[in-house]
Amino acid sequence: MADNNNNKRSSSSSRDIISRLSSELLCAIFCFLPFKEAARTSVLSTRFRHVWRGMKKIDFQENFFVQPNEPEDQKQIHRREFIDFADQWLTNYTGTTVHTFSVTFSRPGDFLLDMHNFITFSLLYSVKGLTLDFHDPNWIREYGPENRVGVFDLPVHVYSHRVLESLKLFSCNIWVPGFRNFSALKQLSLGWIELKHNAVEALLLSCPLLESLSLKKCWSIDAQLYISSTNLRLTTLVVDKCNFLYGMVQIDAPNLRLFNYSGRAEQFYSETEFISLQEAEFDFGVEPEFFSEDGQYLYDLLEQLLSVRVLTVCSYLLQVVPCADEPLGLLNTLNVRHLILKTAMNPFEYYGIRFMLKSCPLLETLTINIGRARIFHDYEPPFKLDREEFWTENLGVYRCIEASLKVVEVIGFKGSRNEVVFLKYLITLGCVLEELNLYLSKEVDGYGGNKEIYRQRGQWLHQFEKASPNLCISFY
Amino acid sequence: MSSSIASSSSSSSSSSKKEKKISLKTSDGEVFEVEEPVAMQLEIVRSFFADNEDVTEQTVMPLPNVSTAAMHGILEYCRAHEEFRRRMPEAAPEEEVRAFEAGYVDRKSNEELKEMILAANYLNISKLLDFLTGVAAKRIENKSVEYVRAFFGVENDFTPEEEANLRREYEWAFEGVDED
Repeated sequence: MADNNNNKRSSSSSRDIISRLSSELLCAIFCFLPFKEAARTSVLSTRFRHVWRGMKKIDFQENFFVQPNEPEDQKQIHRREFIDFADQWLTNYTGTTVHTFSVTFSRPGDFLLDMHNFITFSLLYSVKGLTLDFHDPNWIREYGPENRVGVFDLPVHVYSHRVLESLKLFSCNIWVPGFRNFSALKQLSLGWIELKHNAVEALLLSCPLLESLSLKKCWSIDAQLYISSTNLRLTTLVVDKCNFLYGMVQIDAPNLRLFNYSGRAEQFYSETEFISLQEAEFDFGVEPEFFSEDGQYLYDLLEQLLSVRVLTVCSYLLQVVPCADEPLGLLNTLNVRHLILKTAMNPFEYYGIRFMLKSCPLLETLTINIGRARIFHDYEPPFKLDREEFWTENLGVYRCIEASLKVVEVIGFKGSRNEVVFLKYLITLGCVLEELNLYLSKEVDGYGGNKEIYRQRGQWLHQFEKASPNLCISFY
Repeated sequence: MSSSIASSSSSSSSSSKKEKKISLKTSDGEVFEVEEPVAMQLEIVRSFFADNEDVTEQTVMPLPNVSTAAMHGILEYCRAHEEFRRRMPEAAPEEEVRAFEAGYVDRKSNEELKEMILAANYLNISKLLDFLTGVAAKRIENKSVEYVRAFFGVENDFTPEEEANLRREYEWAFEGVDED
């Protein structure tokens, strides 16, 4: 790529450039690297030795030093080393301001003073984005506040730091009235904490500039989650496996553009329509059982998504939605251009996949993201399910297949029979298909399958007669 | 695609009568006549004209730290963004902007990229600087120390012992890295 014609000139001018690239500019580049990688730049040359100590983006992660599975005594030694490293790094900091400061350190109980010092440092350097992640990755229980001892209280002086624009707090208790000072806050993420009565509503009221709210594994024993429309700037909302009273989640935010929901299906509802929503993801993977009643409920939910262009749905929805009164597809079709299916490519999902194809007549890109999913043995298909011939016999050809679907991508392709027959259907009928991109699975399956074998299986797809002359099949 | 944007912008600007132009002179003596709204994206130019009341339309502003080659790149970017802004004043067409930016940097060598970072920094175009530094980072991400040295054109002036010591000090940062 570089100037090959005149190598000598190019290398001398490049040396000239590096002497002109100031430490500040180099730091600006390093800020886009993961912190660990930025650390490696200190061995480039003597000049680079300390350059990275001026980075405006600081991200200390315990796992730089601590391995997840090491014995407890080793872990304690490495935690100490990590704290000493961070402490020293901050002592030698050469920057004048800090843009974002992040520390990831599980259950900081023994190191409270150090945590306070880190936070104070970031405030002194006018931090705009603060991330404190004290949750323990070993908390495997999805719900319940048990065993979450020693959670950290956000230090009081943080509440007087009015310039904060982004705050992410995991397993870190907050004092809700203090948020009234955060009038510049645009982004708030909370995780692994208890939210008391009306806390979320109060937070939304206190931060009028808030654009993005994310709640991950938060819980409340006395309140439902109510996202009210008082904040009209709120455009991004993520609710990830939270547990509120009765599991209820009520959304009333007309200006949402992006909504990610992961959790139980039936207890979530929206009063206003999602009129500006562009991107939505629904993952009901935590559903323990197959409730055919959910079918109609999810049908109604999908019908509310008229403005959505990018939609992600999960295996549970694919299995359940054909239980609705209208099992073949929505009567009021969607405007989705990009559909992402999180699927196990199990026959129990076939009717659901068909349902979605029929409901998205303007679809341009279909992503099939293959992974594990809970398949329900008591699944009831709306009609007889012919596993073998489902994608060959009695097929409706949907409008999107004929007229708009240009790109199909398969993530985690293994070339299983179920994958191949479905792709055959798309290849032989997709009149305007241009790209079929197969991202080979890195998993080694129980039958000796590996990336090379998946690739060979993928070659079979070339045999099928392509409906579109422009179709190009690629492997990644 | 990007070139069509740039040319359509210049043709539209030439058709609109007597749009105000600003003359900028690069380090190698070339004078660029730049449409005012494009030139004003260069903070150094904007403040020069805001702070000096006695400058006229005939004033040629010298930019001694910017080469002609870098200036071409800078203007291509600023013109495209001006065009996006003109077409959609409310919100930039994100996908189009991304497609333009991707095509735009793909054609730039590492040397050109660094030259433009210097120019964007000197001209004080924070949006472009942010974008270019991000691109530079992408080009060195997950690369070996040797590769990054070559990218920046630095020579290793550590003694082998010094380097070994440093690598030991930062052992945690090298875990799981394949050195090639």
